[in-house]
Amino acid sequence: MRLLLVEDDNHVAAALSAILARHGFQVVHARSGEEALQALLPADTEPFGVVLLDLGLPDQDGYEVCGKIRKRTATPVIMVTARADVRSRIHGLNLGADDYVVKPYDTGELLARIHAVSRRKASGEDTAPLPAAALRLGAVSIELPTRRVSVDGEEIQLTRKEFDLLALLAQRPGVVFRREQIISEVWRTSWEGTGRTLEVHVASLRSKLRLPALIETVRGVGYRLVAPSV
Amino acid sequence: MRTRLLPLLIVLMASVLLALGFPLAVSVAAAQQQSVVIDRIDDTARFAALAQFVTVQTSGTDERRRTLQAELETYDAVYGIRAGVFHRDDTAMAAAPAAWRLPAEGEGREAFNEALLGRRSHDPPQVWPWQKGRIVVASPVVRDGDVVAVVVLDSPTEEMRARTLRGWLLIAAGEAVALLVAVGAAIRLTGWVLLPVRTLDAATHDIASGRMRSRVAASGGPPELRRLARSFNEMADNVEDVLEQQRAFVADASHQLRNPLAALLLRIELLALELPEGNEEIASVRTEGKRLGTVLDDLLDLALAEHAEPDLQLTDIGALTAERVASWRAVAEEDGVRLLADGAAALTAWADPIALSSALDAVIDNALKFTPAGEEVRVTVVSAADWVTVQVADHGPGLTPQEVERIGDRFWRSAQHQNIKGSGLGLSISRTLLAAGGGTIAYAPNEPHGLRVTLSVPRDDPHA
Repeated sequence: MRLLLVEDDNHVAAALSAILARHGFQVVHARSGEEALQALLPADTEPFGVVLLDLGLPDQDGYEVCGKIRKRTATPVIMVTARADVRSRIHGLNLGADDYVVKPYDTGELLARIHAVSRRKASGEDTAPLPAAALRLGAVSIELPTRRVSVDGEEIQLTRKEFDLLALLAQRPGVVFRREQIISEVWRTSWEGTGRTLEVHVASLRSKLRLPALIETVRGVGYRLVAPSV
Repeated sequence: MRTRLLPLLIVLMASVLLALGFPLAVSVAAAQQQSVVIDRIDDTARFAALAQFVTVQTSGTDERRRTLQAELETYDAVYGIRAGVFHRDDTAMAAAPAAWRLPAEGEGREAFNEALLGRRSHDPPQVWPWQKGRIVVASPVVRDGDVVAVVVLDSPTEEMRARTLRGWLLIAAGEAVALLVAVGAAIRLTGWVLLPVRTLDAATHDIASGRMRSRVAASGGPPELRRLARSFNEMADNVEDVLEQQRAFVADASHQLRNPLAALLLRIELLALELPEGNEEIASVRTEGKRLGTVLDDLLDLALAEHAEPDLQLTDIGALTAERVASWRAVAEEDGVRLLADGAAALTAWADPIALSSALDAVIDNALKFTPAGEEVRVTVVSAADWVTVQVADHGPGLTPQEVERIGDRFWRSAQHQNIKGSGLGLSISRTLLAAGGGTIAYAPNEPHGLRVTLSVPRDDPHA
């Protein structure tokens, strides 16, 4: 997924870009409002999944930029700013921001919010096709409504959690899902001390699907589904 | 100031009144005596005229002498004044009462001797109301150019003294009334003089209690006080500016530190990704970074709270408290602490609901942090006279009396609890938020152990 990071502070931008890159996002950095609006112009490239917008921009007011982005595209906007007061938050959300995060933020929280707004956008854009969707990733096909998984036409028996885990990773191939995010979405708990449960499930998925390279471990972060090169 | 100015004015006016009153009293007494003396002189003249024709006979019946005697007796009977006509040799031509004779010495004798020289006696000395003296007036009886006898009138002074006293009482009454009027005037005068001082005092009190916008109108009053009022306003402006600068500095600093801190935290995350999972050092570095973030948040909150104009409205304190307690119950259950609420609902008071909620959050958060699992935290809403109070009582370790005095100071944390997370600003923020709306926060030990925090908000509009 591509992210547009609008941030005038180079130190923050560099660090954040690096982190986001580690989580499988492709980050485009814009230093000013004008640059951001240019980047959002329709092009041949894949559209941006989420815009991370800092309010303190050198050329124009961040709120203004937010309003302009809203007019041009439906891309979700998360305001990432040093302005902590309630009035700024309300103003930002009223102007069309999908979420508001105050610096300094917790990286995990920021990532969770990025996933949340992009998920919302996805379910909002194609409400109809999603439930019936059968996700196809190379040889693997995942039928969400019937909870069936097959590799090269051969059906694989998966436990509930194994299926949930695979379905979650398959939602956004290439994007890294953090351990805590997987645990909260699949095991519905925020308790991180589930021992090696997650590792055990990943290992069993790999062996059942007989595709050890499908799920990639990103050290220190989590897991992602490697989009098979077609 | 009033207690100094008022006696001064009263003493001054009283002495003026006394200075006027004494000569007046003296002249009243003198006038009374003067009229008595003139009256007696007239009488002596009449008796002298009668005695003039009484021939020198020691015995026998002289018609004229009898008439004189009768006149004198009537005079004595009517006025109670001893009257007598005496020859040069002291013998009485006529006297009433009949046995009355001139004394050998004293006033009567002096007057007699003066009259023998052919003229009326001198005015007798002043008889004051507290004296018992008599007034003696003597006139010569002249026949053919010779003094043949002397008329002596010896008057009692009771009546005259009573009249003088009445006059004096009248003067005293008049002076008392004048003094009362003077006191009234003095009170008004001091009030008028001190009015600018009182205005200044009220404004100073306002500023001292946090209403920094208070100023004094520098128009009325004497020039010195007008100058004082102007200086006061300048001082208040300066104080307000300094406070505003301080607040702005805190706000700016906590704002400007956010970008570097965000970058730092992100770098730490990157570093954490490079290290093997579960590295304790990087975990504690991350924790410290987040703690720094919390302190910045709280500093900014405090700066905002100091600047905030409270939006006071009649708020149902009971309902608001119940709502806050409900929100915290999940956290309390997680910690194994029982969070209980009691007290009346539907208790209204003047408060800014957002400010009071934030203050209550900080206090409940504090109470939960220090209460060990299995104990309880009790939140009670009580109405007391002009206040509605919310008490948050915990059963934590509590604080020593010295610590209770310092709790609520900025960044203060009990030495025994330095390692419990928090910035040490939560209760300062609560106090600032409450004070802006006229509320207060107080701390007391809870029995048998723990701390009891009392938040009070006024029932009547503090700015009404």
